[in-house]
Amino acid sequence: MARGCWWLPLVWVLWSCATTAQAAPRRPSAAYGLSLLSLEIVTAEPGAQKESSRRAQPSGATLVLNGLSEEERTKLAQSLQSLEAAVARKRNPFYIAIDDTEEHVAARKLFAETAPAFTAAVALSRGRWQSSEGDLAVQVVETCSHGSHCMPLFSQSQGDGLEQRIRFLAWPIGYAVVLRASATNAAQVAKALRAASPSSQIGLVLTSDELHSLRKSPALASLLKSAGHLANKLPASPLLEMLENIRSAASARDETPWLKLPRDTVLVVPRLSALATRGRFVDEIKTRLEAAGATVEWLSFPQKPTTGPN
Amino acid sequence: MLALGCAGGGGTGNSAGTGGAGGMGTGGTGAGGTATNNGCASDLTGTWDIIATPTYSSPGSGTLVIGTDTLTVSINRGTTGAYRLAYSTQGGQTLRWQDPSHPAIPIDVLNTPVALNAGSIPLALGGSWSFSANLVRFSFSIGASASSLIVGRLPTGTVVGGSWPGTIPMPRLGETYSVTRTSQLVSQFGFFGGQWQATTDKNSDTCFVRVESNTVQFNCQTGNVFNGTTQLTVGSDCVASGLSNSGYELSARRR
Repeated sequence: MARGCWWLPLVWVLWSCATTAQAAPRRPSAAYGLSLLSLEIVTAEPGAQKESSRRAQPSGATLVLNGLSEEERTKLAQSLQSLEAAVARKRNPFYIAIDDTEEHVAARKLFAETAPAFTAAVALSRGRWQSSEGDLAVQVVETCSHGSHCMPLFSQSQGDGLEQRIRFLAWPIGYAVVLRASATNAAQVAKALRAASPSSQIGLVLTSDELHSLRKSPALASLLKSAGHLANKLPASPLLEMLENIRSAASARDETPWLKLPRDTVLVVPRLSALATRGRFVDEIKTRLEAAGATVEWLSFPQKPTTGPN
Repeated sequence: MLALGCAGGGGTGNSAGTGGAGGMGTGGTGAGGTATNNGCASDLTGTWDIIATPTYSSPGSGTLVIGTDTLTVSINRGTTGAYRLAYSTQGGQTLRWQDPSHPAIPIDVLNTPVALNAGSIPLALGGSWSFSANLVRFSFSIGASASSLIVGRLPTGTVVGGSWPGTIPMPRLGETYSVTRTSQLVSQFGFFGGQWQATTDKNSDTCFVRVESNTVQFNCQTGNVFNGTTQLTVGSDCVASGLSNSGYELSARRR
C-alpha cells in the first residue's frame, strides 16, 4: 500500500474501535456581543473527562435541522421515507430481494450525507473542548477569570502556536466564519450558503436565531414524522441513534446557550475534514455569496479568501 | 489489504540514509503548542492532536507522535482507556498493541533496512519487514524496486489466541498482497509519490492509491471497512484532514 501519509488511515481505523466520549461543557455564561465572547483556557480537573462523559451530551440535532434549507429538509424526509419503504419490503415474507443490500446502501448513503453536519453540530454544542491527554481545556466565556489566559472567540487570524492549538481543539468556533448581513437578509445569506454538495467544505450554516431554537417549517413536520417511523423499524446502529435524535429535536433544549451572537449574523462552521483546506472553505463561501449577490461584512474568518472578503 | 500497509509502519531508524527528510526539528513541543508550524511539507516529525468522527455523535480525540525512531498512536475510548499502538527503535525494536480491555500485545519486529527517500515521513521505512504475534507472521518489503511498494505473503495456518487490533480487517492467511506503482507523481512523500494498485492473488479486492503533492487518495473495492474512497491532505501549516465517502472525517494538527 502506498505509504504517503500512511498513518492517517491507521488512525482512522483505530478510531473506529473507540467509543469516544468527551468532556461535557460546563456552561459558560451567556454573552451578548461578538466582541465580548472569549476562549478561556481552563484547568483540566483530574477525572473531569471521565466524569463528564457520563453526562448527557447535546445531540446536535436541532443545529443540524436548522442548518438544512427547506428543500434539504424535504429531500431528507423523502430519503427517510424511501429507506423506511425498503425496510418494510424486506420484512414482507413474500418479498424477493433483487438486491439484498438495497436498504443497507440507502442507509449508508443517508448516513454519509448527514454525518459531516452532525459531526460539526455535536462538536459545536459542547462549548468546552479538551485535548486527548487532558493537558489543555478551553471554553467559551463572557468574562475571563482573573489571571486566566484568554483570547477573542472570533478572530481574523490564527494567532501564535498556543492560540492555533486552542482554535484547533475548538474547531467549530476556532475555524468558523462569522458574517454580518443586513437586517432583512440574514436568512437569505444562510440559504445561499446551504444546499451543500458532497465536495463542499461547509459543515453548518446557522443564523444567530437558529443557534438556539428549532426553526419551524412545513417540511420539518414531515421530516420529524419520517424519522420517528423509521427509528421504530431499525435495529441499534449509529443511524438509529441519529434518527432518534432528529425525532426528539422538537423538544430539545437550547444546545448552545453560551453562544449569543448579535442579530443578523450568520455562523458558518467548516466540515471537520476541511480544516486543512480552510482556504477552499472561505473561498467557497465567498463564491457562493457572490453568486447570490449577497453583501455581507466578514466579522471573523480563519483565513482571508483568495481575493479578500467582499 | 490496507491494514497490512498500515501495519508496516515502522522502521529501524538506525541506518543512515534510510529515512525520510527528518530532522527539520519544527514540531514535537509540549502542551503549550509553541512550535512554529512550518515545514510539514518537508518533515512531519512531532506530536499531533487528532480529532476524528467514528460516528456522527462521538467526536473524540487522540494523539500521534512520530519521529525518526518512534511512532505512537493513541485513541481515546471514552471512560475505559485508550487504544494504543507504539513502535520504537530506542533500545531495540519494539511494537506493542494495547486494547483498553486486554493486556498489551507485544509484536516482534524484524527489519533489514534499505535506503528509501520517504520525503516528509521521518521514519525509516525501506527494507524487508517481518511482524509476528500470536502465531501470526507477516513479511514484506518496501522499496525493493522502483515500481514495487509492498509484496508480502501470509503463511497458511491458523490464527490462535490474542486479539487482533480492533476492527482492523485481519489479513487472510495464505494470500499474497502486492502494491505496484503504475505511474510516477511528484509528492512530498518522496518514493511514495505516484499511482499505485494494491491487489491480492486470491480474490478481486483492489485498491487504487494516488499520492501526489500533499494528498493521498484511496479508491478501494473491498469487502471490508476500507471499501470506498478516502482522501487525505496535509497542509504546509501542519494541519491534516481526511474524509471518506462514508461520511467519516478526521483532522490532525501538529503542536
